[in-house]
Amino acid sequence: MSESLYDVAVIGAGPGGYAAAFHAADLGLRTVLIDQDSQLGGTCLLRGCIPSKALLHAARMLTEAEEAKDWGLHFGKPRLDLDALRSRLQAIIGKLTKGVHTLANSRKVEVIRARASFKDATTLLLSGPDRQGELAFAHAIVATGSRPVIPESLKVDDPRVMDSTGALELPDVPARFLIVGGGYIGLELGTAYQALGSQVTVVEALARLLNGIDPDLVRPLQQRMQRRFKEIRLNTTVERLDPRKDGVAATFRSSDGTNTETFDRVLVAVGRTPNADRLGLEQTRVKLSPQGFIQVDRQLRTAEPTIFAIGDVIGDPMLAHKATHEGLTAANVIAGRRAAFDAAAIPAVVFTDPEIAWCGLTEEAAKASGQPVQIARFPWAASGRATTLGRTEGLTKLVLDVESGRILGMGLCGVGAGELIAEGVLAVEMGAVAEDVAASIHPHPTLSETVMEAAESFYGSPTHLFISKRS
Amino acid sequence: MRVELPFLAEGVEGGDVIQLLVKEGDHVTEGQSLLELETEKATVPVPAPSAGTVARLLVRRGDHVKVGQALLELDGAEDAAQAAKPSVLEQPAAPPKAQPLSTVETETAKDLERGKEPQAGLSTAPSRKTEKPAPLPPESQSSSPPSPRTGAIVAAPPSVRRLARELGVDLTQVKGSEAGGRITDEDVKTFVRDRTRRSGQPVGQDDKGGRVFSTMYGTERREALPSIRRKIAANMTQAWTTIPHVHQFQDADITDLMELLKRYAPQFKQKGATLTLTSLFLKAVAHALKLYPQLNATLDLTNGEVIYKNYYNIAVAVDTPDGLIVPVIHQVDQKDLLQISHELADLAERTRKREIKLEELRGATFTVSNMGGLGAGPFTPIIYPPQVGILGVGKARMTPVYRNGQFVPRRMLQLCVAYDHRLVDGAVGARFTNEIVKVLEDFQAMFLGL
Repeated sequence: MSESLYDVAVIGAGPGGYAAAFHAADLGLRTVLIDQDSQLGGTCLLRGCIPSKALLHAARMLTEAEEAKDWGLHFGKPRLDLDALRSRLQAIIGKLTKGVHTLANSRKVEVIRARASFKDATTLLLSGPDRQGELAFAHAIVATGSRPVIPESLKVDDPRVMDSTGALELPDVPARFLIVGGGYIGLELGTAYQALGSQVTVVEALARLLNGIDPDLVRPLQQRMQRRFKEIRLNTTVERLDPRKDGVAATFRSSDGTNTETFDRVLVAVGRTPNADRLGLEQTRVKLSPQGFIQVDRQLRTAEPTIFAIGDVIGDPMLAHKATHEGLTAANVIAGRRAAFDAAAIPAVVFTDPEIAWCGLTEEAAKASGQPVQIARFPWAASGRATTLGRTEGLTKLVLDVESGRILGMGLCGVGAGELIAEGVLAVEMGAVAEDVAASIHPHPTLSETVMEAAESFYGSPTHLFISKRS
Repeated sequence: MRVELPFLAEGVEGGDVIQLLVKEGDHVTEGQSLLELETEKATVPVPAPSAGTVARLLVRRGDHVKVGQALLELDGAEDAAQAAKPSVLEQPAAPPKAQPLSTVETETAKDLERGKEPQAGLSTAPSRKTEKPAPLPPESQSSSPPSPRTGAIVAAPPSVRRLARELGVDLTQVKGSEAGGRITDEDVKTFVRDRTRRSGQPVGQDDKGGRVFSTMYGTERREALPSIRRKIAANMTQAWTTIPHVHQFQDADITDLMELLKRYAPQFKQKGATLTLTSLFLKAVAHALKLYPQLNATLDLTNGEVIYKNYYNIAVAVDTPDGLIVPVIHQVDQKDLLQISHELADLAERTRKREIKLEELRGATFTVSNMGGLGAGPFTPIIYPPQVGILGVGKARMTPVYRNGQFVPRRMLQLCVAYDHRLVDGAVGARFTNEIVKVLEDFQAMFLGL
């Protein structure tokens, strides 16, 4: 028989898992948080959001120093101390993961370093340095996240072919860098490596970058990347990667035929797969979707009533903040609260330069579903603040209900878009109409004014843009 | 598999369960009637989509169910698509000892009624006790398919959505008071208050099954609005508020027509039919509709089109103990008077008994309402959308008519045609009405093709 009984056992200490564990503890439940990693924080903290954003911050400093010459400010050629940069990233991770440990301790959440798998619907099998054997629980929350996936054809046993985890370890700054996949992971890392000095080639199988995002939001980013990257190849697939002495030879196939180019390093960022395997879920009634995601209801409950699941492992969008919110909901449900995950808008941010951010209904999704919407756009060329920053390529847009002017979605492209999108989320969640946003005074001069002026254009001309009535 | 109420007919969104024909554990064959449903239009049996054993009944007698709502669960039914559904929705078999939350919820609702804020944490019971699995919240017990996220469809802030969840309020039923239809916490509370008041405390019950309430003015009796009445109310409101009606009156001299009726009625009788004025009206209307197709049309404002119907299906208003029901005689133009008379008598009879089939209530292009039998005078009928016209007739009267320098007694019938002025202009409406009158006064002309 297993030793002690926990109210809640959380498997996986990412932003979903630790949020769930902390909230469960706050609600008075006896909680254990299990992770196989020595550090808490999961993909987000250890090999995802946090290190990539720190790296992008460094890249931004480099880019701004370079662009400073347009302002009459001249710096010398930057000298890159890769060791120092790496240890800075490690320090950031260390600080944050230590914070999670401290929070766990102060909430009396027991942390066990071990690999967990289900023996049955109320028992886990643990194996790890902290603990071996069984652990009985009343409820479990599976928060095991996802991992990068490399297609079989591109699996090469060579350290120069990396996934996002490898790229974030910053082995060196390759002169010729190939990125397979024009999604947000590929483009964010491409942005960072380009600023550090790599010549970046992006290859995307589809006809567009960042599939799923409205094309007008992608355009400013793509134009800038086209100037800064060596090449962006759309409608192109990578057939094979051959490790050679002088680099990795990549064979591309497009409608023009095939050709081969050699690179010093290759990042394969074509997608992520849920960590739902090797968990012993077959010992329970938990059901998986054909794509391998754990199926849950709106209360995050799986087909096995004692087991809940949250975050990347239950499906797209694979975003830390979605996982956190689901974690809180699952803890509430387990504590007997009448909770459900019913977010109207889950924001998403691509931390490239410029950034892209959106939430709620997109223009494309509205078009696809036939829902009549009105789009209100405000180009940053008309924004005073954007002009002072020398970054006027941005765009702010609102997706509005034609009749009521209710804000159904918001999209942004531009520097700091990730910080601006929160207002859109609030507007969508609160059921705000364009007038509400237009009548809320926004500080001048800031980029947030573009949201207000976009809302004004639902009725007519915003102050800083004249829209002809006959258009 | 879960058996859901299938689509029944256009405009029929659901009905009241008047009888359950099976019970849990029963084995049913495909097509066997599971229950009887009283819809706005007719009483219909709901058949089993496939054979199986009734595992669980999800509705009770008297419930109002909507199309798509789950009625019962059928075990062993062969339905691949359904069987593939995850069992996420099923109740847990053994481990979690479910402790009902509903009492707490009700108390919260009551607190709210008394003006108190619902006590947060009341329903959470976070304590050492929670060693057993948490109760299954009511949401997952009762409601079946994972409902869509409310946030995306309803304009209500997250705090209001939480309040609604706690009070068991379906936000799609709540009318938002703010801009863009946004629902506030006050809207939700008002909704709950109204709901509570509606189901308030009656002081007694009367012999008619209504609930008696005592008010400062005296006692009042309240009874549930039957399904059919709800539908009539909704239809009439829509018709009266959206259709700009023009009521066109005209007198028809039906003296000769009555002669004809009298002359041939015995021969119809021999063939087992009753020749009535209504059958003659139907014939006259079908004739006029052919000449004025706008009156046999539907307005499609969404697509900016007029839909001209190449069939002439005329509905006839029938008074039943439960309320007005309007069965349809299909393809009146292709039937002779004998056939129409037969059908009319049969339809009216079955309508009064509520044995009419749904397909006999659909597809009308125009309506005739004859209140002559009730001795009623002229009246202004209301158009039944999506039709654009209706003929209302009262009782004919012997009237002195000035003709050729003298008054002669003639049997005069006052007609009233209501038409939708969005589609039909006054001149067309008047000509159409005159055409009906012409046929009634001079039926030979129709025979001669004039």
